[in-house]
Amino acid sequence: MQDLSDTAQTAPMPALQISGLSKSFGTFTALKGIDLAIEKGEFVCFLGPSGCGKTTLLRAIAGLDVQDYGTILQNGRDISGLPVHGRDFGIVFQSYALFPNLSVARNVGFGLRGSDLTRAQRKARVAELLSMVGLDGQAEKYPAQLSGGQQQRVALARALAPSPGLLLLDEPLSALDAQVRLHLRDQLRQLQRDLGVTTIMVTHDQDEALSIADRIVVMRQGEIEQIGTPEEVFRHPATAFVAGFLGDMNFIPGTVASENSVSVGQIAVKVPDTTGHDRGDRVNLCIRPADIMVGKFGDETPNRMDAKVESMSFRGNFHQLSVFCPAISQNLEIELRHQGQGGHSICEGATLTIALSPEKLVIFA
Amino acid sequence: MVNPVPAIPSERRKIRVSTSGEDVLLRLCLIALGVFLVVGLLLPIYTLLSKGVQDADGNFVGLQNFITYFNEPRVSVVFFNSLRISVISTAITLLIAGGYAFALTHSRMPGRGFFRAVALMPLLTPSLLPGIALIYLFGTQGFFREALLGYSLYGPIGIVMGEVFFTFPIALMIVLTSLLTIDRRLYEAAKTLRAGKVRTFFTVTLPAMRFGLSAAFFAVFTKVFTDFGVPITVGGSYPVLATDLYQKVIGGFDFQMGAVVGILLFIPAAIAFLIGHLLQRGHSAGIDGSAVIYIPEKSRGRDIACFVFCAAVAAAILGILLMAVLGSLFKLWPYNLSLSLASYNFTAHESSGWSAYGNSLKLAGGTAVFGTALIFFGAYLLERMPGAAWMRAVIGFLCMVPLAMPGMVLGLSYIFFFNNPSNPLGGIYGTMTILILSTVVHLYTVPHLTALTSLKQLDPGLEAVGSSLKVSRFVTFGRVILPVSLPTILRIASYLFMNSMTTISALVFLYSANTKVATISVLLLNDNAMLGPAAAMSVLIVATSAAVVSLQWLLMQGLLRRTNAWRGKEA
Repeated sequence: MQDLSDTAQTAPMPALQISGLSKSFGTFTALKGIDLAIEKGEFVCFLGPSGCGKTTLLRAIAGLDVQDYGTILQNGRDISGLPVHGRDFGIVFQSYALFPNLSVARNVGFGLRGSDLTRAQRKARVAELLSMVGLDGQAEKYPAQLSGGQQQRVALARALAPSPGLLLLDEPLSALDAQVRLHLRDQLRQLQRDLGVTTIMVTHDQDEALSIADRIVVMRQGEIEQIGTPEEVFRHPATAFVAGFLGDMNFIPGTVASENSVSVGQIAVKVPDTTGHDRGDRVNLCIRPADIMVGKFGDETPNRMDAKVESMSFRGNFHQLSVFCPAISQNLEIELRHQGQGGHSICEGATLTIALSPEKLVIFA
Repeated sequence: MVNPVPAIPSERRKIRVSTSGEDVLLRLCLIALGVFLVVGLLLPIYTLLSKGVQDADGNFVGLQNFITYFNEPRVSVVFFNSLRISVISTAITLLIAGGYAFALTHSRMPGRGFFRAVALMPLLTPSLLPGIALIYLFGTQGFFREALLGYSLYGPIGIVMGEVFFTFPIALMIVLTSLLTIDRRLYEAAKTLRAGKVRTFFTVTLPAMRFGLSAAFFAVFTKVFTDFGVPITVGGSYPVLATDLYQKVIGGFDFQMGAVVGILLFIPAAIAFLIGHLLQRGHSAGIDGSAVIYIPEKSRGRDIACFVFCAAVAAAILGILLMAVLGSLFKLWPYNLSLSLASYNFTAHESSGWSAYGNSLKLAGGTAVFGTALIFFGAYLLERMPGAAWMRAVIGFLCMVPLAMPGMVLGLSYIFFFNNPSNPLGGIYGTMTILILSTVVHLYTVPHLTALTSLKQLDPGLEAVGSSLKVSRFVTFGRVILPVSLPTILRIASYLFMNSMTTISALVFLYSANTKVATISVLLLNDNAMLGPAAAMSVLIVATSAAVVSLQWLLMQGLLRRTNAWRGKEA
């Protein structure tokens, strides 16, 4: 899977190189030997359920909660034990942490005071940043007078003001309304592309991660499950957890029968190959609800079976079906696009023919 | 597990954050706070406690002193007097405060704001004032002495009356808070379930009050048990622990027995404090500030009853205050009731004259300035400093201890600790410094909690953002934390000033001829039967407290107006 965002061969030294990072809080192990390299200009998302360690990892990179073991190199410089102000990054928190008593301009200019810029230069820089995030004319307002989306952009401008080498975003969009969130997500992506600043964003929202990141780091229980482009982690999940976490997934338990079939219930399901699994191993077959085909199939179509519709609900762009398949004695979820109905009159209680195309099936132990 | 990154071999050594100059400075500040609390609180208490288990020659005798105390009925009767007075006063105070709080929140009687304001007025007074006013009202020559049906004011009756006046606002504030947190929706639910008024009271109102009432019980009990001002003025020959302690130490120089009595004064207060603390911990989860405030329905009968009750209580409070003012203006009570300002000519009545009042201002000003800076910055260090968790926990606990420490016990322990010739800090004994030190320590906990609450509400990311922008924490503190916290700081300063004006307990053991303060002057004038000047000095204290509270209110209004823009809805 080669795509445009794969920049590994162009950058000799990673912007961030993390090795063997571990951290515990009392008896709880938050991070277990994290190894990760992030290239210059990359937009990386740490994705995972709450408690998976993604925020802890971000805070370790920031120096806010320093790791117990392991090293962090930024552009080759060891920053493992440096205090927060000795590192080079800007940060945006979920709560934004804007200074309530300072105007927007003073918030944005907060980190410029110690720099060697003149007063006029500072003013120009603040104006430039505000226009960059689309907040011209709001300079003299206070944070409390702004909407949530505007506050988020002030926080972003403030973090970017000293031109940091690394931008850390801790769930920066999750406090916003759905509409604003979508809009700001695109804006954030565009801004990051324009500035080329290496960016790490923590999120628990898989849609957000899929649509914004160059690479996604999927985490679980303090460990990295998979690192890859959005396509890779979505299409080729490395583990059952990743498969289930990124989008809906049907899990069908079965036993490896041959090189290219898995027996489930009374039938043998055809699969591309079973490399890595021995005959007789218990495995899970995974298929996304949208990848299950419904319609009339010829005899040459593999993995056909009957399915009885148990419930059906309208979801806007598709119908969500829950069907029972006697052949594998299991329920499956199906997302049925309107175009693909193929003349079926589908209602609860109806019997359909479905097919699980082998190339859409993924096998996990 | 996919892992494309070749791991750099790293030796398993624990990462230590290199400390910057800023971190060192913050830790030094924390250590300084710790040293302050150890010297101002822990070591003196330790000295007192160890004196309690020694004989006169300094040999360790275990609990022998206490056994002797309780084996001598003539001596231990004082302890039981204190217990009795405290229980009776607390019960009466809670009954009145409970009713008053209910009337303020659950009726639509007119004048609720006025009644609330009047009820809080005793907070401005030293506890000597109700005693003095009661002498005018019910003393042997009092205007209404017949009302006591021949019983004497001096003794349990007077003490209980004075303590009820003195502790009423404390109980009221606690119960009021618990009533205000009842969610209106609970009443609406009760109504839709067709519960009657009586049943609603017992299932909604009373359970909510129960926590407030029990918290108030412990607060009031402690206050009465350790109060000195009321029993010294109207206690007559009925000794309680506080007056007994005073007589033993100041009258008889019996420090050994003084230590024993001091510890006895401390123990019930400490127990009450602990129980109250545990109660609070269990309850605070229930209050989340999201309750919809209850607005009672119209009910003529209830409103009239509530009004009559509150009017009677308010009249009693105002009566006592007014009596003190009038008393200070009589030319020569009870013989010549024409009005004059002669009592205010303190130079004619007491050697220290007006300087006592000046000393009080110095003490209150010093405590407000020094105390506010210390307490607020201390709370900042404890709440918002990274690292040093262990040290912060210990110091945080020390900050709570003064609440359990009766002022008199603190004062007595200061004598033992600072008046010891081997103490290098002995030089502050007899100076204004020791008065300010003892007052700051004595009043520490309440403003500390105020500061903590306010600092907890600030976004935890503020300093982190500052540090990421390479701005020192001290700069962030000065440019953000401090301005945002100004209302809290103002509240703390005013609390410290007002309470330093009215306090007497710790000072009674620590003042010297040059540092005599106004409350001490009231005590001495009263001792010398100069009731008019004593009343005059008390009135002066109340007037000063009231002025400070008004000033704080004005400043607060101005401040909130000026910072309206960024405070948003809060203002």
